Amino acid sequence: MEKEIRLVFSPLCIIVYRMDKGEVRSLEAVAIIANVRAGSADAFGEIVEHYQFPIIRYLYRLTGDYMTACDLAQDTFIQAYKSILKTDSEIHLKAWLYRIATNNARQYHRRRKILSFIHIENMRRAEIPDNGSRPEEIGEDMAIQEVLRKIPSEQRTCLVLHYVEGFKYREIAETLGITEEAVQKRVSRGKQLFRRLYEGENK
Amino acid sequence: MNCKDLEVLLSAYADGELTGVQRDFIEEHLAGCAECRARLADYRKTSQQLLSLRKTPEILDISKATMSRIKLLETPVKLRRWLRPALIAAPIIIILAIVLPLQLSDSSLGPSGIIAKAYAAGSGLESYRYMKDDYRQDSPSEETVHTYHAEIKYTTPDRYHMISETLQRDSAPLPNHIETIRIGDQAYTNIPNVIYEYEEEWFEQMTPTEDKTLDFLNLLAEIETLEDESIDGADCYHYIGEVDIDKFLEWSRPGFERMYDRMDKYLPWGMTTDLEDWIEQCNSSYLTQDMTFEFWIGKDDYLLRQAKLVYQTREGEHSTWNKYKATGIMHYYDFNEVITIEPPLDESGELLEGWSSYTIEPLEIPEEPASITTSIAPRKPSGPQNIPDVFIKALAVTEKLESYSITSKTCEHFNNGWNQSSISIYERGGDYLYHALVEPNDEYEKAYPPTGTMELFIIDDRVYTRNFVTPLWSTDDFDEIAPTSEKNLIVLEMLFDIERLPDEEINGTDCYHYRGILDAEEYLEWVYPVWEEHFTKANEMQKETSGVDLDFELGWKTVESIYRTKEMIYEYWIGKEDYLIRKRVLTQRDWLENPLPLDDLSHISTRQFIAEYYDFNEPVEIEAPLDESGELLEGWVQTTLEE
Repeated sequence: MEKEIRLVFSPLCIIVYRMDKGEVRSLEAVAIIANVRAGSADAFGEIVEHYQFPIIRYLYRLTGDYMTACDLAQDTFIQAYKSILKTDSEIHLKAWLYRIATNNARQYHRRRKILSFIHIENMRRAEIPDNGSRPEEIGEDMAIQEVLRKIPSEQRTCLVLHYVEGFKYREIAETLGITEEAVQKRVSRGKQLFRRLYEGENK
Repeated sequence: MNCKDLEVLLSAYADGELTGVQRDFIEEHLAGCAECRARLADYRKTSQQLLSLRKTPEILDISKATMSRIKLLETPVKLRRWLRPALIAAPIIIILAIVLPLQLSDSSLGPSGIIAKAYAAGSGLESYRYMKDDYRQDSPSEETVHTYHAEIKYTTPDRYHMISETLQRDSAPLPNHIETIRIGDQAYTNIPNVIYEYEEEWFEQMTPTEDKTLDFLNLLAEIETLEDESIDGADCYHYIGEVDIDKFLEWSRPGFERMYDRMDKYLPWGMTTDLEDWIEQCNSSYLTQDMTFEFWIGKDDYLLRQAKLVYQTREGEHSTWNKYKATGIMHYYDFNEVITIEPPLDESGELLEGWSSYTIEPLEIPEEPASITTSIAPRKPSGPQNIPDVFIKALAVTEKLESYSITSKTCEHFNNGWNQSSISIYERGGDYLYHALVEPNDEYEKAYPPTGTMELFIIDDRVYTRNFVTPLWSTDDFDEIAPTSEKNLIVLEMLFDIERLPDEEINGTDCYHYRGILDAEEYLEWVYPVWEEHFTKANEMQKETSGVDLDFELGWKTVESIYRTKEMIYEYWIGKEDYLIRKRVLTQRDWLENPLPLDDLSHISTRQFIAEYYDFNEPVEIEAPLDESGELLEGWVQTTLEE
């Protein structure tokens, strides 16, 4: 079946995109925030453009549902925008966006539990990701994602931040507002649990 | 040291997160401990698996959609109102003068009579079954996928059984096959680990009964008649209409509010998002979609047989749950058949395996207004009333008036503010010199009537109308229908508990100020023949144009229910020197168990109709809507009044 937007951004492209635009642009973040505060909503567009892919991917791995991830990403940016206007203090943009996204994902899981019980019509249905991989890879990916979903959200958040988003433990600690020791513990426990569950599923 | 204690450090080491002393220590330990080396290998393997998650599906560009939402934030958000789609509750003169002619001319009248009957028929049902099926299509070129199927049995008042099957894989932590039963105050479900229990009212709200589906009819912008079709062997009227999204969101708001409250209550953390933000989130995905509602109503019994709701995401827009098109079909059948609904118990009365049960508690919501308080009888006058002299004089003076103008406003009270919903201007320069302009002033009123601004001129025997395609009225009709000053005074003789309030000045004139409550029964008795005559006339015309017979009983019941369930408080300001009425305010609200003070406007059902009278016996210039060459202006229709 043909898909119109198939592989517009392959995984490789995203990495290239990040390398290319990423770190250079982030230096401009401070200037952008200043512009947003000065009343230019358009300036914020740059932040959205720059961070949307990592944030969507992060949310996708946390929630397991692609369309939800896109939606939560939008909410994340909108909340970020609102808060930029509300505060004058200096913001570590990246950590801060991830923190909002983390909260949104947690919220989503709580909401989801309830919503799915009352079967509101057409509530978000899970999307099976199509990343252009071979069938067995998709199976593997789904199995990993499935196991990930069973890990408590505190540990899962740390795992995704570290392995998927490439955060150092120190950055995770900063983003989540916890100590580095706590991050070490969560990652370690998350991995052990992941291993147990994964082997249990695939024996 | 026990190797178990090293797990955390070992994990960090595997991730390259250890430095200095710690790293040296671990490396030294690893050199001499085979168990930890094996564990390290495990950690590394797990890390590899997790790293594979960096690959993602194609990523949508959400920047445009996000930015347009952000720009929306900058425009002030209109005060949201929750308006129950209700019958227009206005004084009868206004009903007659405005609603009736409008209905006559409105193309949706055909369906509207049938819809009224469908409501009546639906509310008389004792049992039925229904099926609901959802379909999804992700793009025009893809095939439609059947995603959800449910079968429901329902018997009034409170037995309900639903089996639902999610046909698409769902990541929800729930089984795809769900069964729920409600019998009285007992609920049963096969969902494991139910943590939320449902109060009575919530359950009722979630029970998808036929009348709830019919509610959708009130949300339609415009209804189009399609060719009749047969459903389950029954000939059906067949209509389609576009759902007015704003109305839909207003209608769905109480449900979202309730859901928010529940989540706030049940979640250990409570809700961290603000209610308005949360509702906005819920609403946002509807704003990018078009919704149409198609329905089939039995010709013989007026029962809703089938309804189809189609959501389509507009091109270039994004919706949370609908990539391209989502369809829900509701199919009703087995009306009033014997339907048994049994609890999931075995012979010894034990719950079947996999089932759990709980008791549905009645929900108390103190701030919820008693919406239709039919059980509360209107207050009645305690005995014969003394009509103040001032009223008698006012009646006499008004009858002699040659000309005057009236401005009237309809206002709705909401969230401690007044929302003016329409404004009308009437000018009368003599027996047959008359001008009326009715301007809806908010979205709600604009939808009822869908025609927008209405205007009417009567000059001698010529009638000019705009958006008011009146049938050929006779002078008799006009005399009855025109909302003239005298007519508004009729109620002066039907008030009780009349009290005089401190004098007030209205437009520079010192006025007496009186207040009284309308005796609903007396009013209904007076108005019945008027209503009957107009109804009959309206029905004749209706039959001619669409062949549909209006239900007189239903129409009259509507009028009765308005007057019997609403407290109508009238206030008059009457000039001290000339006894001319300068202002009249009708405050209308539900009769409450414990009546509020008359000047308390806080109840949610409160509406006000304010009319000001001025320019008495001044020359009124009323000119026909003609251009210089004497041609009718665009959009106007001219007819002739018959003697």
